[in-house]
Amino acid sequence: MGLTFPYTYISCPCSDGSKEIEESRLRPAPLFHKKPLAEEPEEVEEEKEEAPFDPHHPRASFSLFPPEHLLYCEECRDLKCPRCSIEEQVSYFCTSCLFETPASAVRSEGNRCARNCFNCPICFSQLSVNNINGAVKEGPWILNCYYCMWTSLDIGIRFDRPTNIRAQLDRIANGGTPKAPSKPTETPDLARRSSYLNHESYPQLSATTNEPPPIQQDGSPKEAPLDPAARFTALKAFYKNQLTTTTAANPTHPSISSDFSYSSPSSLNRILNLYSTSGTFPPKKKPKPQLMREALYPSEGLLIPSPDAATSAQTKLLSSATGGFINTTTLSQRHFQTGPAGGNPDARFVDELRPMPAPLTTKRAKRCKECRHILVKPEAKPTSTRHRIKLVALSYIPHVSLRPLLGTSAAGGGASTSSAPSALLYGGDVILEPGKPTQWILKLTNSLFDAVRVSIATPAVTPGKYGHRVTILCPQFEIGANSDVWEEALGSKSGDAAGSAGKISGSGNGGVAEAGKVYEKGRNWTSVVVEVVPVSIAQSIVETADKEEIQVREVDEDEDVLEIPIRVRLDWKQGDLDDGANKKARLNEEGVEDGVRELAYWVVLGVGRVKK
Amino acid sequence: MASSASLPTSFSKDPQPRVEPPAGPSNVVPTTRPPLEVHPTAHLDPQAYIQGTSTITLGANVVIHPRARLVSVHGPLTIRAGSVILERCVVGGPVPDPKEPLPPPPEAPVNTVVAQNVLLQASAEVQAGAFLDEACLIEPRAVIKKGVHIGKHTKVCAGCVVDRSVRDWTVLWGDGQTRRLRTGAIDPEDGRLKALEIDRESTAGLLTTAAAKATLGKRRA
Repeated sequence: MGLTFPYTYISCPCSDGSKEIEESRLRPAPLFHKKPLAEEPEEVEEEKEEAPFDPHHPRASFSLFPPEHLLYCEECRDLKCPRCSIEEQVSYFCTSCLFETPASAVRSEGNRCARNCFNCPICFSQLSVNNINGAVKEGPWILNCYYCMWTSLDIGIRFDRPTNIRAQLDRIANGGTPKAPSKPTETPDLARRSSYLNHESYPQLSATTNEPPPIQQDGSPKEAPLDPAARFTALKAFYKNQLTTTTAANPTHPSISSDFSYSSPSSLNRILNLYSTSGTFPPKKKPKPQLMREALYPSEGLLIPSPDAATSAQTKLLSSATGGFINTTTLSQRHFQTGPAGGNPDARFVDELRPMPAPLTTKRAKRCKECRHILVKPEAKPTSTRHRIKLVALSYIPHVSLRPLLGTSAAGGGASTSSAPSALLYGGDVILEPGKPTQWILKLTNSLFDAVRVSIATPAVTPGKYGHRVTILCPQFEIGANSDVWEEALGSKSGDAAGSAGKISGSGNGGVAEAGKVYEKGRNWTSVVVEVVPVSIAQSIVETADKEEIQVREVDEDEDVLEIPIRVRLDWKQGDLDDGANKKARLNEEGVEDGVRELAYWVVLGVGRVKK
Repeated sequence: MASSASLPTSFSKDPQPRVEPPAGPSNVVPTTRPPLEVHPTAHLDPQAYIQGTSTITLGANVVIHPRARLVSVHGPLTIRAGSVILERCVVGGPVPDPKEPLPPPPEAPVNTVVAQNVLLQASAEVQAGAFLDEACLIEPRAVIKKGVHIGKHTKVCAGCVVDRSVRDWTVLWGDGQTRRLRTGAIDPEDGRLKALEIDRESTAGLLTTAAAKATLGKRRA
């Protein structure tokens, strides 16, 4: 792992798919055990006998998360990881101009900014709108890249106004010539068109019209070809129209675009026709099935490349003035161009590229997957970083930290204990001597406003290939409430006068590691001592099949990392809340709401690496 | 050089630039000051470092910012009119090891030339033998290797390491392999050069005033 020691991970039980987990919330049985599944957890009555969490199991990493990544659901009263929460969009905004786009307009704008925010087609950095003549009010404006010095003059485009650039760009083609906007204002849907529009002077957009557009003498239609974005829209509308007409005419024709539910009129119609046509006499004359056809006119999306398209590209490539290989586009530049947003993905040369509107980003809210309650909800305003609701796990579960106990006890090893803190000081790896016991201070800091009773348990020998011996000197203790600092100061004045800042005198062990007692206790934190005795990590000797060569198997990556799985169980009594959040709280077995909360989860502490 | 009681307008009077090298242990061998030919309108900041044996020539209106290093160990260094060298730039490098004594003048000295209106931004490095042509722009932390010719109005973007010559009106960016030719026709380059000139004049005034105040403060102390 590339982390610095010591680190803390929490296991979310959502990855465990056994039914036991779903039924019993308070008694989760993780899958990471070596015992066969035949030994059901029903046989285990107490938590102490359940299989411990193996951090070295290959599947363990999929359920381990840093505490900062976890959320807490008040309804389910359980931790939620990113996998057991659902995200939904709260707002859409542009990262450049911070302007919020309403959700209804996002799709029509192609998920991109509709104003003046563009990305350079060459280097993909942000473009700025500048006046050609400097800081004046009149005169043409251009898009300018400060990084690669590209300007829209390179593709021959200038703008009359500095605002609403996207709409202006939609009407200008590369080179400065006007072009049809890619988003036509009129919908091509025939059913909504007036009959007056079927006059021959209007462009025809459907196969059901009688008069095709006038054909030139060479056989090609007279209409001008559309740009890629408009062509995409026209072709999409054409195919949609074709599918609709063929499906309506022939009920038995399998339609790909129609939905598979039985509620649409076309599918109902089709099913009824199946039954109705089979039993009639004389049999109805079946209508001639109308076949789908391809696009025939440029207005429908047809593009016939000019005969000299290939040669003209070659000529341009070989000419030194406008072409040359230096002026060809790269793959990444072409991938950056998307047709629906006004780009040209078929651009061969850099002067065919177009600036791309900046993509929008979203603010997302998180919901619990089980009960659908909101866990995290940011404010919709793009410039605001606050949250309306923020139920993070660290506000409920105690923060766990580990630090070495500097050698004062006789059991602490000399060299290992002094080397560990010095390694931590300089950011190096923590190396533990095998066979030498080391003592560590496990500190739990409470964030709740209520006192919490904590029970921690760990297997005497760490699961996995190497069983390091771990002993917790005080497995059950209480952590004080995260009360106001002044309360503690006032309380200490009225009580003993010997209270030092941050520590309640007499309630800790005064800094001595003793079994059954906490090491130190503060206002809202408690620390206990954990003793670790690593075993040696041996390189195993592997004999090959013919037993002629003896190979030394190297220790696998991270096999020497000493990780301690700890089962943490919290019990606290939730105080009265003014907002009436307890109204919907579940009742206990007697049917009386007593505000008792409990939570249990596995924590993995990464201590260090064992010396080989 | 006689010290002048009036406000110094050029570097040829007080104060003198600091001699290499300030960094390194205290047992460093002090170096000699290279011969300087500084135009009266040029500003060589007192806190800039100069080092070497060959001549360093500064043209009109050149501005050398504090902590820039001008090295003429490998050969003479010429900076022509209107150029601006920002902080922590190294021109004429690589910088010789401060623990070692200064090497003798090379038998085949290489010329390092920075042409007119060149802007070397912070921490850029130009090695000896390079030639930066007119109005080129070198962004921060770019490295121009020995013998490289950077063309006119060319931009080398931040962090690029250039080991081969680049033609005029080019932008070198990314990993150095990506480049494009600027049209050179209607181009905001004129605006950029105008802005560079205004910035250079105001900065030169600020630095001169700051240097004068520092000198007066030292004298009083």
